[in-house]
Amino acid sequence: MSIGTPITRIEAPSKVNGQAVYTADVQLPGMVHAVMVGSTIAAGRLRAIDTRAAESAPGVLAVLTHRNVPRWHGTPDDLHYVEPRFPLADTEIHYHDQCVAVVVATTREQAAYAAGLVAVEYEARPVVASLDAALPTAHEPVWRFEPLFPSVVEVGGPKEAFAGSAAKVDAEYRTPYHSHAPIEPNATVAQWERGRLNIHKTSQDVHGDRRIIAGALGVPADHVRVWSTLVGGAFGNKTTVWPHTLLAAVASRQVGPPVRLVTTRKQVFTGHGHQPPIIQHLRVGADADGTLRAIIHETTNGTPILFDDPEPTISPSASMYAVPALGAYVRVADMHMPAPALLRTPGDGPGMFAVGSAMDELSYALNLDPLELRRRNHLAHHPLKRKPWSGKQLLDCYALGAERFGWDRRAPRPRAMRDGDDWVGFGMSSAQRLEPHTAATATVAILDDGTAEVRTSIAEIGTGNLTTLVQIAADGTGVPVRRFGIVSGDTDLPEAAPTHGSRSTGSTGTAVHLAAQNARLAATRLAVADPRSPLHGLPTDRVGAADGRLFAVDAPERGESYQDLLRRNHVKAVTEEGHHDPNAKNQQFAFATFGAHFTEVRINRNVPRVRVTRHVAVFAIGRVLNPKTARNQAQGGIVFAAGQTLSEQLTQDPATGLFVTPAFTDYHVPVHADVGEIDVSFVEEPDYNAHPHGAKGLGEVVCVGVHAAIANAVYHATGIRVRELPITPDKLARLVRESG
Amino acid sequence: MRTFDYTSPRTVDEAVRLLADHPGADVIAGGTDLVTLLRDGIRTPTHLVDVNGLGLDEVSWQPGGAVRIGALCRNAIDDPALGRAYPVLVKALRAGASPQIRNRATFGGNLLQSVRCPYFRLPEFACNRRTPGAGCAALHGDSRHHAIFGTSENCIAVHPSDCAVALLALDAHVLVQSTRGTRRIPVAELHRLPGRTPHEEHALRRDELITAVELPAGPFGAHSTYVKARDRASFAFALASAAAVVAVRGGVVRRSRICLGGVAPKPWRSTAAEEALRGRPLDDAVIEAAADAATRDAQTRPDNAYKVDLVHGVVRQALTELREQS
Amino acid sequence: MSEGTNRRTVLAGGLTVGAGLAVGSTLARTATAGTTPAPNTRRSVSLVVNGTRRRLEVDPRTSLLDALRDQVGLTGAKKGCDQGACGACTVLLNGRRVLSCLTLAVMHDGDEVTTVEGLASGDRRHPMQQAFMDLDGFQCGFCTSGQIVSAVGLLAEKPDLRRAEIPELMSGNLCRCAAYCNIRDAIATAAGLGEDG
Repeated sequence: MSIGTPITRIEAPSKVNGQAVYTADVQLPGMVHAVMVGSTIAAGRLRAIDTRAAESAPGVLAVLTHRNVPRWHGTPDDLHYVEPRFPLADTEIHYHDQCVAVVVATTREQAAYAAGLVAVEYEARPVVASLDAALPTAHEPVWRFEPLFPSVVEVGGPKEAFAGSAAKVDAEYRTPYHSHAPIEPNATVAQWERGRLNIHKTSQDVHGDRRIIAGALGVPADHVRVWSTLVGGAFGNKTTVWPHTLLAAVASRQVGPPVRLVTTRKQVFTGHGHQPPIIQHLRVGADADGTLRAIIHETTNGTPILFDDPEPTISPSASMYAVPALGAYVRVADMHMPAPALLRTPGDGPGMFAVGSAMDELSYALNLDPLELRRRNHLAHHPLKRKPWSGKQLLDCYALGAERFGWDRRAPRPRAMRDGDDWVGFGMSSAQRLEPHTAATATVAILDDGTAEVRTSIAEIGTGNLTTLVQIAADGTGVPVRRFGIVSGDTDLPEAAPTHGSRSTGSTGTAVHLAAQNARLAATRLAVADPRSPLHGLPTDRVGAADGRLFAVDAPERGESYQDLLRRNHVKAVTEEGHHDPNAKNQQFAFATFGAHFTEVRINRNVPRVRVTRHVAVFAIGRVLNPKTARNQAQGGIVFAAGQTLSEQLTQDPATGLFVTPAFTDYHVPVHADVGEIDVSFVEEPDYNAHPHGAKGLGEVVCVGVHAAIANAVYHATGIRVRELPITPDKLARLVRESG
Repeated sequence: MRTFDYTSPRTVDEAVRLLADHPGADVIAGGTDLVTLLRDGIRTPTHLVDVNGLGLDEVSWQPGGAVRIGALCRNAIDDPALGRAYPVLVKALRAGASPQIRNRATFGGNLLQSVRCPYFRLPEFACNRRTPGAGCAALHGDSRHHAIFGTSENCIAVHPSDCAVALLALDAHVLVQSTRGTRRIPVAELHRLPGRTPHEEHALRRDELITAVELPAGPFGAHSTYVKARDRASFAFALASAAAVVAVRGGVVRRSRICLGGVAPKPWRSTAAEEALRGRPLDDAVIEAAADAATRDAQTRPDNAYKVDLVHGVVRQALTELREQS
Repeated sequence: MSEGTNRRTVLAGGLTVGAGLAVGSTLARTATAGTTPAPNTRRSVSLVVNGTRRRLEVDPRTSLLDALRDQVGLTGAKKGCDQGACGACTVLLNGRRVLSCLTLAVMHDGDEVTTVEGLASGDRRHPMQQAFMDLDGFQCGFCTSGQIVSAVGLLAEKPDLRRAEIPELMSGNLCRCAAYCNIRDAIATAAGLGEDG
């Protein structure tokens, strides 16, 4: 068995020796370079644009603007393009750094210099530059596409139930613009060959991207090929096609040679997705014994002027607890902001910050241990769907986490734990993330040279999915991992699920699992039908597979290798497909992953920055495919969310709506020195109700609850309840003056 | 980036001659600040004079105990004698930037780096430093990082250097050279407050080159430390920092320097805090009084009022450390 | 473009099924030469890159990073920010770790540059590379070249390195996937440090 073993990532050698190829590393003969020019206002229109100086600068091959960009095909809405307006489509400006021109030149330096020569005259209009300023426009979202969740959920008379509750929390929680900030900037290399388009791009979903690219350019989909094998971090911001990809493609068509367009770091921050600012108003009511009576969760997020994009923060309140009365209301408010993008973890991340904080506040109101409060409201089924969870080991996560952390050492009152000049606090939160089912297809080929390969279009974004898919295929076929390859990241391959929303393990993993089963069965059929095979005549279910060999289950020495079988039969490869059909999921159950976070913070009274010195997390994700990559991903997700909690915010200038902090020098993601001890464990129980291989997604649940656990620990340490992220030193500065 | 002529002189004389001859020239040493300014079009020199070939990278102890640090010594400097004589300097250096940047950044360049105001660094905002008279977008903007001392209605940016705060606390001088000769400028007078001319960042004339930093002889300086508050544990500019140097004799503070970083357009000396210490024992009450004095006359905005508390905290932390050492 | 050069196959155990990842960068090396006519503002510099002397004609504006990536064809060092704030472009310059995005190629005539591609001895990985592999010191891999080169530079700077010093002295290298715990362990292992070291 390979599943469950800590094997090293199969692409590891290339990642440590510098040979791993990412989009911006792709060099094509004759390639030229494109640079985007962004708007210097956030609201208004472009009155005039003068490209003459840029066009006559050395090396410049073309300057694209709204005046000369070729006509786009289709409509943004039909194609599910990221925003309802194609790049350079008109002169309207809806957000800062919106692309107003593209300069193509022989070298990168020439293009960048000429980009600075494009002179633009704007007519500025009043700008809505903060969520507070946008609140008067707050409204129930009008969905651009299929609704993904209800905007209003009302069960059991929540207002009355809240009013009649013995203990109440009524508080507002705020989260700022958060950025994905992958270290790899979004990039595209576009090349036309006889009417066919090759696109190398930073992508979490090559097939999905191809549909948009082909549609917008008016090219048949089978004339477009998109590659994305290795992605240098994504976290949701490479889930779609951004303007630069379409612009690189039209630029290359215009000038002839291949065009590389690598976005600048600033452009990654300004125009390649973020989670918008959100205000959540929580009212939670409970009986004196902690039994929840009512949750009223009102959420409003900023949305671009052109369309509504609601953030599903109500997810935890609508699925976590046995609460008889629930009111959940989703609204959006119009701001001059670029299109958001799913950010690890959509909805549940900010949602659990609010719900997990409110639960903590309630625990103090009740004088009850916050862990005990959660235990008392534990629920084995989905409260609205009224279906049992397919596998929920949350209570086990609580127990194991509390033990590993030493939760029993927690002082019941806040501001009671002190170590020298450090205030010390403990906090905890639950984690939950719904487990999606998405269509996915893969093939597995067993080859006559003793090797095998998985083929599916998935991109490796750092989660280790190439490795875990190979592990699934290895166990399914009985061909050892070391003889397995995987071909991936290419639209010529079967369509995998997009690598967002924790879909790879569940959906693409199931497709690979089925393909491997099918390939093994096909080879078995060949063997049992072959008079020259030692397995001839056996029923297929009496044939096993291991170590690259088929054998009789009842007499393991009787058998032969796949290689012998295929060569003798002059079969180069047995290739079978597996398809995961989301409609075929078990309808009896609801599906999710779970976890619990326990965290210790220390805050020095003189230098009041929150240090997360110790974090214990336990997750229930079904079977753990690869403990080495899983532990790494979990630790990373915890740090990712800790950064959102403590130091990350993309700031919009209140007067102009321009982004003030679009750089790593100002958008503070965690560095090595921020990271303390992180202890991760799993309550491992295969969930065969969810997926046939028993494993579920991990990448997002690991972030959920971290924000609340830290904020709760900060309160426990200091008595200061911070309800607005990030919890930067300014929010705790008054500790300095408070008597020691 | 606009293109430029590149020259790499081999002698200081040659370098200052180039600067004198080319009014549009910029000096590049470590490049850790200038390259980003060039890339963003904030500096557009016609000539780039690369001074890395000039030597100027030695630490030399002078007769009498003063020390001269070559302007091209890198911020990664690891000199045990410096560490003993001036702990505040070594601590400030190590609190700055990252190891990679410290390996390139030079003493001269560190002192002359531009402000870290995002409104200065993003060309789409109005900035009086970049374009005199253009206005200051930061005044009505997000001011969480901005100055609480020494501002004017034309600029509220902070000077980002940690090293400069330590050098100010050590009464350091810079030695500069031009075709007209050499001169010494106290670090205290090197950086200019914005006033009505925020574009005039420092007292160096445009054809002058810093050749060395000179620290006075000890023992003043040996009892010193640096404390920095920032948004994350490392690799971030100061929200507030304190360089503290004290000389305690007979149980009382005879002399001290309390200098602040991250709170003013230049490294900021708090004579009020020094007054609060003078002639008093370094006990809790005196430390508290000095920390409080360091915040006196702060002019805050809603977003940066917290810096008053942070200044109090870093000064208290620094003095507490020094008390515990003595 | 032929199918063979474009399909990137990731292999377990080094078997040859399809084309390996390295093919992409081979392509990169061969494709670069002579694509750009040199304007007369170009200057000639001579760099010793991974032990081999390279004469380059560079635009004075070209960063050391861009010269390495686009002209020498070594794409291991990455451009994460081009602002000196992420560390993905870290290389060794005359043995010291520096950010290759913050310095101009023209300033380095005669200098020695080591990139991640130059760390191995023949087929044998550098112990730091091996430790990153064994301890899973990365996820997406994009910052990894910079992390590894930075860690090698760190050990050269501080032969007496203690485990507790690693986080601060590696803080110039961001890892957004945040494989920080494993990176720390990998560096400690390569440095021969125990739990308490």
